[in-house]
Amino acid sequence: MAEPDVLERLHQRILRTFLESGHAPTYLDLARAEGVSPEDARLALRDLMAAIPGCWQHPGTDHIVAYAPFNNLPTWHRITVGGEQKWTALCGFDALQVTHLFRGQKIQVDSNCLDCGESVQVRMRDGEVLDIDPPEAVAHSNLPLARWFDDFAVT
Amino acid sequence: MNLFRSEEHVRRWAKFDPESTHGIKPVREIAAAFNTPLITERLEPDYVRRLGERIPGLLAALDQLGGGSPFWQLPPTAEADS
Repeated sequence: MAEPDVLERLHQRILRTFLESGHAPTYLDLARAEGVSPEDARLALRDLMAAIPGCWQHPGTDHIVAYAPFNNLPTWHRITVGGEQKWTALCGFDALQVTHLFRGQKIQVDSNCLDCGESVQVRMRDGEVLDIDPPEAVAHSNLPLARWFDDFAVT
Repeated sequence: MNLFRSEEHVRRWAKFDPESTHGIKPVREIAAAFNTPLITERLEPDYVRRLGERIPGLLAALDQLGGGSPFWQLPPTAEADS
């Protein structure tokens, strides 16, 4: 298991890379940034991904797919901040959490209803919902909390 | 977890599980439940180290959101281990 300080630094770098670029770093990016060997970074990343809920790598690879609340592959939960739509949330619930990473800024969640495909839009700032379109929009989990981590992608 | 245009749309969704009726919540209520340290303190320098201390706050908020429904609770053993 990697040292706690290393895990903290990797966690910060991953989130800050998402915030700046809209996508996840690779373990080679992390190795270079931390001044460690690629293998040490790869193993530490594996430890970190196992420790944080809502994070996983593409099966059989070391590529980050999800690092809550962000997703590194396109989903129908798109996030716009300051006129830039370059972030993707892991799921509809995570989309409502992204606001906490952009403190003081207005963010917009653009999602789609899985029934009709039409837009669901939520504007937020610092955790507060400013506006919902349509106003009667709801959030839904198809699985109970106890089963969220059986297969996070289908909840 | 997804966002839908209304509760009616959830119930019409091809993959809707009728046992997930308790999983339908107003967007504002779900968003409010996420105002807990596990979610709001992701950029804190001790986030990973103190993850275990932050998880119960989210579980309590989700329990409150669910009004005591088992749908929004972990089984007692799993909760004790978290």
